[in-house]
Amino acid sequence: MSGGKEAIPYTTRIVTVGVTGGLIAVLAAFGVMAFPIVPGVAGIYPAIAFIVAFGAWFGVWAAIAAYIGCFIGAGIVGGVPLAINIYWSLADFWEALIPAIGFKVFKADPELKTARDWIIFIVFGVILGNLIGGLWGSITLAWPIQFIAWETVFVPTFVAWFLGNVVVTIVVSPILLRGLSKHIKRSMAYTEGLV
Amino acid sequence: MSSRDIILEEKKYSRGYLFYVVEDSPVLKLNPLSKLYSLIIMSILAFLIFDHSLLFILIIITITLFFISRIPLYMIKKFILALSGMALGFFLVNTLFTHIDGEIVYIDFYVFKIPYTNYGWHIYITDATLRWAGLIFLRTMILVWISLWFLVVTRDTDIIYALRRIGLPRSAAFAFALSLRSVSMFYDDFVTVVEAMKSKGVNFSEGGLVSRLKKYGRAMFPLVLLALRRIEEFTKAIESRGFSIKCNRRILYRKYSISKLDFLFFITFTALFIIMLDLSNIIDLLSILFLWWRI
Repeated sequence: MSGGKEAIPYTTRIVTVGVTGGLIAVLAAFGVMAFPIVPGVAGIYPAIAFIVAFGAWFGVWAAIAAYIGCFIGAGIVGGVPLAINIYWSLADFWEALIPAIGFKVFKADPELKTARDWIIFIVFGVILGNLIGGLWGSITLAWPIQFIAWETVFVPTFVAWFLGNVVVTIVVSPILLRGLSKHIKRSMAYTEGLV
Repeated sequence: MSSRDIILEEKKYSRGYLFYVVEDSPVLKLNPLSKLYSLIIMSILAFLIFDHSLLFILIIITITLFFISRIPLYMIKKFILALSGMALGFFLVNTLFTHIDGEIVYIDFYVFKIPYTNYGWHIYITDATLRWAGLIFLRTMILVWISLWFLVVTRDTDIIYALRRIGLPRSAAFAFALSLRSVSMFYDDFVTVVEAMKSKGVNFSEGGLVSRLKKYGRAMFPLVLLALRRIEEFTKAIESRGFSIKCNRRILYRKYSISKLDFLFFITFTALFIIMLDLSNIIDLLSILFLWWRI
């Protein structure tokens, strides 16, 4: 048995992307249908709690899953044109990638055991991720191709996106992270590093 | 007896992504690329056309596609209601938040205003605002209906084939198709978990927003654990069959051919695209002439 570094188990990672992408898509579709604001945007977006938790568990693979989940669940179901959906769905990609960077690069524990873990979760998962994702998602609906009017970009789209996501992330994500991280760490899907 | 000689028993229904469609539906015989082509054309048209009457024609065409595909109405009733409600929500939000100057002002007042500034919630509804909100409503209806149609009449193997043919890597096509397949599985699981928790006395409609979110958060535990189990099962199943996700060879289990029906579909949607864009330009020109005449 060689003592070298183990290669990335691509099959597991791709399957993780596919399965978690489907879960995100269901919750995203539920959000945009139950709390519609503008096409693709929900006032309460339950998927975000999972996107942040998946970012902490599965790293960059969760970001790809979030992109696919948003493309299907919020974009296709929410009525965003295909051409815009391709770059608009990156909003959820950033919302998973930023917490993933926070947790993996700064080596925070997804079980949120210490104050440092909580600070990283709040800074990267709650504030930065939602701020960048919200700005991306709101602006790209009006620029470079205009699909919604500029008046609706910041109020209500960005405000509803950011505030709604902050509430859901702060309330639900810690429940998932504290309750499930122990099980996830034992599974083959858990990603130690960012990749 | 070779595997080619095995004749499967004829089924009445065929499973799509969301539910079953009758086997003799002509759309099931179409090449997946034709379905993807029609989805793309309708999506582009809905987005490029600004005329309400033409958008309404596109809605009728989409509804016709549902009838041609022989999709039972009772199966999609739930989806139609939810998606129409969503489109109506977009109409309301765009009406209440968009400020477009028009010829007739219906409503003009501040719900609240920050003192000494011009900031606040200003409702300003004109005829132009309603036209814009109506445009968003019609576009959303077309986009969600055509997407629903595509998901109903498409199987996972069809999606992989179509995505591979348009040049997506195998891993990306596989992940996308698996996500779509997982949607119906998790939707069923979500309903089962929520019903099970209700039967144990959990009331999801009780309490404030935070309390409800917490309940839903805990209800999601089984979904995540199910997802984990599926990841392990799928991985083992894929590896045990020697299927390589990284492999770039084109191996197809199902053979797809291009029939006369595909040509008909291709010609019809190409013609629709050209006619609709031309009509849209003609209507724009007529509007300008009308304005010029009035001035």
